[in-house]
Amino acid sequence: MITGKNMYKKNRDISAGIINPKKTFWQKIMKQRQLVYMSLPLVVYVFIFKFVPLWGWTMAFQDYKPAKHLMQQKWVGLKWFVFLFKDREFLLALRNTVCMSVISTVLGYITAIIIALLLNELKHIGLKRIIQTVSYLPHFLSWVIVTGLVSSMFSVEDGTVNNILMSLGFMKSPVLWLSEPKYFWWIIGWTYVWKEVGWNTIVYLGAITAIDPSLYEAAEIDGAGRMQKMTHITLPGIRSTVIIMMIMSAGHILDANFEMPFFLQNGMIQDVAQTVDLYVLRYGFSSFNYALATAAGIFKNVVNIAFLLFANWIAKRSGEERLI
Amino acid sequence: MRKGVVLVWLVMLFCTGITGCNKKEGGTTEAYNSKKPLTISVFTIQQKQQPPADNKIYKWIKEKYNVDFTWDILVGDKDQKIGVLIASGDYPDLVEVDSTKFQDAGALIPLEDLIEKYGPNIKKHYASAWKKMTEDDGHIYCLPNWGVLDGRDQSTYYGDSALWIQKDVLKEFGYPQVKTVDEYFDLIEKYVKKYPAINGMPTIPFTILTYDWHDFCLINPPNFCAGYPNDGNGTVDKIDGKWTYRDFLNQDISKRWFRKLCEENAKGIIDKSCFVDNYDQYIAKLSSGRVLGMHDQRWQFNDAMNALDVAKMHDRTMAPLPVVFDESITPHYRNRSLPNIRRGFGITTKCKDPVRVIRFIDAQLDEETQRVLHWGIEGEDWQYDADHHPYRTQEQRDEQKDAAWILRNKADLWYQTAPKMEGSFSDGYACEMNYIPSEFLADQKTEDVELWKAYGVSSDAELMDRDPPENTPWFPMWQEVPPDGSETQLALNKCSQAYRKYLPRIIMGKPEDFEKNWTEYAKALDDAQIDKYNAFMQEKLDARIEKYGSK
Repeated sequence: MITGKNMYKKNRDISAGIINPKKTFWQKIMKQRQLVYMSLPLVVYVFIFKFVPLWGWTMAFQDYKPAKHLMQQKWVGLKWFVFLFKDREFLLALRNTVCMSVISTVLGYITAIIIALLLNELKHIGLKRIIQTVSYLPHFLSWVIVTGLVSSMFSVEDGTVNNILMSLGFMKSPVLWLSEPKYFWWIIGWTYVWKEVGWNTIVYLGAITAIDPSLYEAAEIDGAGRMQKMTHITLPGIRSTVIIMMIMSAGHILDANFEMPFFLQNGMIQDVAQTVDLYVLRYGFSSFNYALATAAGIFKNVVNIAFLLFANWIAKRSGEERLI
Repeated sequence: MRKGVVLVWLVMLFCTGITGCNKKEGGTTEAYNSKKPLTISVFTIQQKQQPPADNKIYKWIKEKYNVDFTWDILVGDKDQKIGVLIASGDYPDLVEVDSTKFQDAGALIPLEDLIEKYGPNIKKHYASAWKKMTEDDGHIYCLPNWGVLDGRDQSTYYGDSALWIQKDVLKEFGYPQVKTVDEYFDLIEKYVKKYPAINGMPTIPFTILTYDWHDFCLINPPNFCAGYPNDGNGTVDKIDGKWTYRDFLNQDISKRWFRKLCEENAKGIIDKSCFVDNYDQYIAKLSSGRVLGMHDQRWQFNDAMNALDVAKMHDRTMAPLPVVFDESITPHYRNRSLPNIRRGFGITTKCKDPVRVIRFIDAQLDEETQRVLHWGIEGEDWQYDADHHPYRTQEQRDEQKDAAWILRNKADLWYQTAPKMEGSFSDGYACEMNYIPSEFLADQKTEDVELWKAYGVSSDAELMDRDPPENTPWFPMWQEVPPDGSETQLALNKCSQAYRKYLPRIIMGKPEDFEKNWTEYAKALDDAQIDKYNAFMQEKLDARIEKYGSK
């Protein structure tokens, strides 16, 4: 309670400029020091393992030979970057990476959201749990196993897919699915969906439960049907979550899954199967050309960060949630 | 407290005095000093298991030489692991060399002086290969693991390239003479018509291993069918009086082979899924006994042959045939033994006592140790009969093939890569006990003995070539590998992308489209700048001719 004496003290102090209403940066830190202590080890870890190794980016500008010192290396400027962009194979790899990434992500989103919406409509708790558990179990399988499964399912010798299609009469003789360029990206996309949809659904289900139930009640009173409730309440309700997830995915656009193309690639589909990572593996690591590998890595980083910032800016401009 | 400190200092001084006063080991022909224990750390690219601590032969080595080993066994990609090893500079005492990577990184020490001073046995063993072992800078960095013979070569094993055919196919038609490509495929077609299924699963007439670096199985057959030896990715011919190296990828011989494959594919003889299978799937197919023929090198599908033996399907294992395009060509599949240059152990700069290591390698080259390493312990793994003739009981022979037994009772990791005696011991018996004729034939399956008798030979090696011609001085050109990061290596890489893309299309395409597809393929090879590879190999060929002469 402001008594007479205190009131005048405050005014006097303000006019004397003694009380600084804004706290300094350090004062804020001191106030939150427990939080700072907790996060300090992780910050140090990130600094040591993610930022300090960035000095290795110098490799991209040299004709790097391992076992020689930094000072003994030959500096070649942008030679490897020019090489990358002149190489038709790299540009193809770039195209493949972007396409596979986009297809997988888009399919992943649509299916995860649809399944989340459908699961939300399910009233029987037991069934909901069972479906959820079964759907996210494949997430824990390693990609090696999954590609082995895919490989045997699509094989011409007794492969499940061929058997089913032939017995249903759609084809006369088995098709070598994994050798056709036109099917490859879709095989990758749908395998990714099968593996990850259950896991991604968890996020959206969580977001849906955060929607205020009174909105549903109000809609019920207004006479909204199931579909209308979904489109007018649920979808807008999880919109901010979806957008945050999309912004985060934008930062991974050049990070197409490594294991799937690696295990499923073969000579006939190499034009559509080779991603940037596989290109780097073949022409960088296996040929001992670390400079090239680093140059490609830097390029990926730059593109990913650019996309992330771009997506964030678009979100900001449209008045949506943003990450940064 | 004071007294304690003084005591400790005195003890320390005493100890340093003792060690410091040890006479430095010198001398040249001093016997191996087994008083001090020596642990040798080794990096090996053999993807095998760690030997257990109670391994019989390693214990024997420890007792005799006071040496034991710590193994860094390769898991995963060989080139990546070697890259990491080099980048870290953290080398063990010995590394298994299989390329110029270690040498280029300066990781290996020159060995010739050490061998001159401390390794008389080593010098004697490698005398015939000394010149080839010496690198361009005048030093020797690696001790070849195989191919340097002492005494007569008695090997019965044929492990190189061949067109392999299932033994049952030959038996079914009364062991006919199969000399040409047409005869080979005709026989396979006849068999498939008669037996479309084997053990309930469809027969696979002809398959090709195309996975990753194994894809030389796809491109090599034309080279051998045209009568050329294994000179890497090309052939060496005398053109206009000069020995010229040309890659065989776009030569007429390749076109001829792939046209034949295209025709065979139209008849359903080629296994379509071989173009998407990986190596494990290939081995699995072979192990099922359904494959009738393929082109490969024996060591690549050894596991499959062993699996067939375990399943008692020995008649479904493969026999090699020296098949050529037509009767006018002399096959040159089998070669005389070659020193396996740049493959073996090298001593690294991080080895603390290279003298002792060389001494040990030298000492283990003596006959007694070699006999233990090759044959095993007398009385346990083999024994002499009444005529002082070495032999093994059937149980002992079976043990030699059992991978689990080998892990506990043979120094396999060391033996495979270390310098060893090969050929014959001083008593005339073959270093490899399996090659002693009595042992060899006794251990062979009846199907094999029958097959060899029908063709008038006594082993797979003889079946391929009883008396292989002398090697050309520049042989084998496959040892010349473009240096890492060079434009040549890049060109070769791009070429491999080209043939991996187009050859399956050519084979699986319609015979009418063959010419069109081949033209596209030839253009892709040109775009990949294969002439850079040819120029590089020509340079190496000329250098070899200069060093070792020409025919």
